[in-house]
Amino acid sequence: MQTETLENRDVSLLDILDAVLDKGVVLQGDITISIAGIDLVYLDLRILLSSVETLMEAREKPSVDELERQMDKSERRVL
Amino acid sequence: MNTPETNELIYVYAFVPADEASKEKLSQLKGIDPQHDIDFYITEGLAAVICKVSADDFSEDNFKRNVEDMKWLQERAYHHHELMNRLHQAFTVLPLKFGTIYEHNGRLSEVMKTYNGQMKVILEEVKGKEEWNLKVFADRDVFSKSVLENNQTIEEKKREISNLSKGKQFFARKKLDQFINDEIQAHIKRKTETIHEELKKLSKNAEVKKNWDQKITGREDDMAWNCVYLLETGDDVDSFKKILRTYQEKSDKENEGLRFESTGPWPAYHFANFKSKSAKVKS
Repeated sequence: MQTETLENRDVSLLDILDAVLDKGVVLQGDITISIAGIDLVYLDLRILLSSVETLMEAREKPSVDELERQMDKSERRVL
Repeated sequence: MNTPETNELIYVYAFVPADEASKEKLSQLKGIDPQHDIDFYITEGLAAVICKVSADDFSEDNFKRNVEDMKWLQERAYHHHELMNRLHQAFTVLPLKFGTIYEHNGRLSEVMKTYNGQMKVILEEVKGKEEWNLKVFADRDVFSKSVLENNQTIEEKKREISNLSKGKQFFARKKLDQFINDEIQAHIKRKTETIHEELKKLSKNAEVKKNWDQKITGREDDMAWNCVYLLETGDDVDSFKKILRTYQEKSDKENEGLRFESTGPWPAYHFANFKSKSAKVKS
């Protein structure tokens, strides 16, 4: 349906959205991509991109230092 | 929900200098609302490239709902992008972002008056120029080899670890992994920054963007650099491509695991923010 007019290599929908949406494709720790327009334009619109839904799986891992502290505590208890 | 006063709104694609705005060049291009053709709205030495759109699709509430529909968004975003490329081929353009909509000519006219100076400065700045995007991807497994080879600090740390008690070794190794990780990141960063400095000399302007997460790119390698460069059309673009080709060849030869991927020419989307602009032309 749409022909590609950029000259070199395929440009993905994400590339296009990243250029034409005001805030681009932004990862904010969740799965939202925000668009904010200019002036009378519709502000702070958040949309859900089905292609990045898997981001929900990303979760915080404790740091090594934290693990060590936890381990130290439990070791002390054993001793 | 408020009912709009009229059923038609104005979708604005771009601003071009009024003296370039000849109708022949638009030759009945279909707008984002296929019921309407692309047109100019001219005032104060500027021409807005516009299309009338139905409030059924583009009123604030309806538009918000529509962009959540990926198919709807994809079709319109492509249209916006393709039309902008055609405008960019024919005119000096100040491109606007997708979804810039005014309620009526009066509001549009007001904005064109208020930001007249700023818009003209930008049109002057982007004249004869185009935007190129560079993304650098790094395959960490490949890249890490060159970092780990002959790294005295890492060798030293490994020796220290072997002298520790079993329990301490576990955490010491974890810490070493983190150290190696940081070393690799620092290496990649230095590399991309060197390339960036070289490209910046060629560019009229540049904007560093956030790297995309792997979950977005769907790739095995990490995005290590994402930046747009504003380049003079012609020789500078050729040089830009040549630099990237050279880096790619060098990287392949040294088995560094870096991929240099550029897209363009784009209209100057990242250098058209007239609201944060001073109205004075720099001499």
